[in-house]
Amino acid sequence: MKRSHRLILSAFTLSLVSGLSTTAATLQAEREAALERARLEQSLILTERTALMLGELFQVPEILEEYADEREGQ
Amino acid sequence: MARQPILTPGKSALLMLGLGTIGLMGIPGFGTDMVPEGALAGVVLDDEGSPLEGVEVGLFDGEGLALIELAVSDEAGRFAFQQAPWVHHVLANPSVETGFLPRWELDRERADTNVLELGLVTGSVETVTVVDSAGNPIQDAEVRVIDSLDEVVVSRVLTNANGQVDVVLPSDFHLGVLATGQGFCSEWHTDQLATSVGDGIRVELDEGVWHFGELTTDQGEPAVGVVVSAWNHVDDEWQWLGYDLSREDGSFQVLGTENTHVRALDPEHALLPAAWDLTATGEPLSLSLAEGDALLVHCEIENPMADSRRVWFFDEERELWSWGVVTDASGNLAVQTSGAETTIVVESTEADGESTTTTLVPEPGTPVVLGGSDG
Repeated sequence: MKRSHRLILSAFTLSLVSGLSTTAATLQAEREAALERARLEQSLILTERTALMLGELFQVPEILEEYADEREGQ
Repeated sequence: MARQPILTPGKSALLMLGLGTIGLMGIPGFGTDMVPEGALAGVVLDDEGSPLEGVEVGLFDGEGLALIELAVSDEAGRFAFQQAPWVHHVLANPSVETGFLPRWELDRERADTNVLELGLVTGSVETVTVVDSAGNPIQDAEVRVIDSLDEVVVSRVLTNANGQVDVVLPSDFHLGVLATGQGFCSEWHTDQLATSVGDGIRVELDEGVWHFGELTTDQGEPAVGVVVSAWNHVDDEWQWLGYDLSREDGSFQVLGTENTHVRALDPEHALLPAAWDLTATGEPLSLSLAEGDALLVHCEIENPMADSRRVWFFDEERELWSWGVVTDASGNLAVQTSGAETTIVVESTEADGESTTTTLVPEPGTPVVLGGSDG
């Protein structure tokens, strides 16, 4: 194999490896961002019981009834 | 004639009964427990330890979350409840004008202590203005302030005719603005909103579209108690629009945009998570959730009774995170997995928030043992 061909091949291999690792890093970053969203979503949902209790105190009628119906249905 | 002993068996029994009763009731001035059995007393203090008068304190049932009793602190900051359930929640709820933040004491057990000290800290008072896309004020929009460190709601109030309401904000908070009853998409702002504190907060709500229908298992049964969470993906940004819990008949409804990303998560982990990109058609949707293979996970925790781990599962096949499950008192949890390669993230519940990541292909019927974040 000519030297120039070898150089082109190694450059191609390098860019391929680099591309693959970038893709892997992007996937990893996307997965971590998705986990952050899942955490936030769950954290917000888990505050619902304190929202329900505050609703009783502040008498937020229709919202409270809606949630009470849901809870009864469980 | 034989002399009668001073303490006959009958007198002894009566004396023991009397002393026992006094012991159960507590003798004022002796020990720290100075309130009758079942009662709960406490004191509300400011951030310098001075008593706060006129603060509303609510006692809630630990299970049903119902308000049992309401008290107001006196000039010495004291309050008392007649009868607290074994497990209960207490909220000190100062008025907005005081600038103090409400304080929750959640999941208390009567055995903890019957004298409760509630120290309040100040926050910043802000006016929230809620308008529609044309700039018109929205009355009766619910403004919800969440203390993001303690994960509790500290304010839940409705806007007035000018679309305005005052709230007290903690240093780290999320703000939710909800007017779904009026057909508006909810707005959930997380910590980044803290930068606008000081100038008032203006929130614009967009009109929404209902996505509704029925969730079933792959066996055709209604999927009950599943979290149906709506997201909007615009300009590479994800915005949460809120959630619904599927009912007895599997029905659900969420208010989103024309095209909304919906995730379904079963907090009981009997069904696999799923997601769909939905386009509103006005017709009811029929969505199905698959059942997976049972997987038992054990986290090795030094003291599982006092500590726990939250564990997240990433299904490589579906590219979805599960609902985060908390280990039980033995450090165990049971979930369903698709059988595909699964990434497991174990989070410590302590403030450092450390987490460890494990990737594995679970084998049905074979429990997985994890070191937890300690290991």
